Amino acid sequence: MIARVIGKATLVFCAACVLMPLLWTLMNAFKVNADLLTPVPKFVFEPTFDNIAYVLSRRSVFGALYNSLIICLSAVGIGLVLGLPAAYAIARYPNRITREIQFFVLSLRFLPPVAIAIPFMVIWLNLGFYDTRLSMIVTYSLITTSIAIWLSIPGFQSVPKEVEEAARVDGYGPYAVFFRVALPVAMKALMGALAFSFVLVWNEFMLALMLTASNAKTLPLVASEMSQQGLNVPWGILNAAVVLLSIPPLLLLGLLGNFLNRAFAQKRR
Amino acid sequence: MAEIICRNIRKTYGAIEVVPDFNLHVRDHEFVVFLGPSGCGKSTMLRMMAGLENITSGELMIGDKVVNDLEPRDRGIAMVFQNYALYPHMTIRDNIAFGLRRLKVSEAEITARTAEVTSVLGLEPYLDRKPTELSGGQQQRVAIARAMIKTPDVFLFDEPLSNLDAKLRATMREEIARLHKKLKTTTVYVTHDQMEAMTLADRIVLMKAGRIEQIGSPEEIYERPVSRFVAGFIGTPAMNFIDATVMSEHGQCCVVNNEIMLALDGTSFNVEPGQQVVLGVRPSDLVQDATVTPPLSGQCDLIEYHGDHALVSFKVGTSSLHALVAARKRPFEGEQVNFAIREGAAHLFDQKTGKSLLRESQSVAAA
Repeated sequence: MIARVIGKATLVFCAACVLMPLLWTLMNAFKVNADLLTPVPKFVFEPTFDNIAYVLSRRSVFGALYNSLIICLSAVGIGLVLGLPAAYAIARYPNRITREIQFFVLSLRFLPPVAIAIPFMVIWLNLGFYDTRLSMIVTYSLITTSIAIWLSIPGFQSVPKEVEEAARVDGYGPYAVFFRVALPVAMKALMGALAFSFVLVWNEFMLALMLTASNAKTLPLVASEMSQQGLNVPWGILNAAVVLLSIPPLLLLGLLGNFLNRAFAQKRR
Repeated sequence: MAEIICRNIRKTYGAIEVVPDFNLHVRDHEFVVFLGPSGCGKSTMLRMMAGLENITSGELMIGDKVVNDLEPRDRGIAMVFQNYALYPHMTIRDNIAFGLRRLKVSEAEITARTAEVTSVLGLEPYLDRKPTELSGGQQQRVAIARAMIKTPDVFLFDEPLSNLDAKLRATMREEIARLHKKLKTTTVYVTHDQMEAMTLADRIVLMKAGRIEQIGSPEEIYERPVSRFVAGFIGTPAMNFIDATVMSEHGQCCVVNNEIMLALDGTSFNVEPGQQVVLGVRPSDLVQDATVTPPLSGQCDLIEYHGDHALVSFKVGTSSLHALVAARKRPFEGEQVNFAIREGAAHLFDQKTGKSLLRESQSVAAA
């Protein structure tokens, strides 16, 4: 009994640790500076929409939002198109070569982004694609592909081999087995790969900072720029930008979560 | 409908030889069971027939064509897997129809054929459910329906009942037997359960370490095991084995060791005096009888009550023997018991080769 209470209390405390900063950010997005810069934090205040309005009124924000959506969705799309078949091959035909590939893909993630940012900058400058959405999509695709491969391998490994063999006996070739059996069966596990790679590139800052100047700027860059205006840090605006920045990944996770819940609910019935 | 011919089939994984040389002719309409301990290569053999494993060398014919290099779909086979292997993301209806969809069969015919097989197997109420919502027995029935609907030339079963509980296994065994009576499709069935093999098979192929130990009807395998391995593998409770030496006394053939001396009909066995042999007797072939001299006698040290029968354990010298007696006539633990071997029920095996020493022409009367 006591153990359960302590357990519950620990969980509530941990949840509060996670949720409090998020809630604080959300609240601050609707405060005027006078409410923000007080020694005693205010929980009750008169909400203002000035911050949100200011953020939305800036053309750079919409440009960046557009860039971010195009770049991230394309990169995630390419990552899945290239990564899923690769992960399937690695999961289904484990041998020395595929094990090496698997490790190599992971090792790409060991590299600090700074280490590759400068070579990338030179490459894109030389090719004449610096500060374009195309160069950002290609660069981010490298990240999403490696994440998609790494996270999908367990998903495909969990598909029983006999189910695929049954499909072969039923007359389907290797491609049909992949698309009509392995992919749908592993779908739940693959959603995680999709969500994670999207969030990763959506929040990516370092490479975007190095590889864009104005045309292809992404939302994290624009949001961070807002802290550099004038002497006073515009906390309200900054928080409003953060809230705006969080909405697309939340929407995506919400959609995926809904999909997962439905999939699981069906299973349990 | 088709026959299956295996000629000198060999299978290796790298340096490991799993099946060295496999020869078998499965006749049309026949129900053949591959039986053997795990790792004896029976599943590998079946998977080679299905086209899921490459054949290293040799020739496999199904019907009148060599299928070594054909895809599973071009072999005219259907397979049922041990863990059912249903498509978890599809409804039962789609699971059953999946194979026909690939053949571009018209939707009307798919509906008709699905209705037919589901009515045979009693699956109508579950057609719109997902596989995970069904019990193990129902799932296996779906797997059988999925195999049946393609009207294949050959059915392949890979230990289809081993994931089911004992009662359900007996029911499904009966259903498979009925189905085969009705469809008469050539069937190869892999199992490690001798009960399944004995009840279902027209012929049993008993395998050990990739080799065929014996091929025969269940009765032949039970009555005339060609080796000590087969004799020990088939039959529950297992056969008793006693090491002994063959002696000849006054022209009478005997098997002798420190504790026993049994007279044998010398004409039934290919033995020479001095040969080291193993005497094999099934527990049900030991009869309580004190009139025969000298009997197998010892002190009863354990009784296993089975209901209609009781299994009596007793020690004769160093070897522990089992006898199956009617439960009403069972002795008490600690009691002195005398058993005789039912006439003509003894088996002799060579100690070195393990081969049966029974003369070829000699037939053993049914026990």
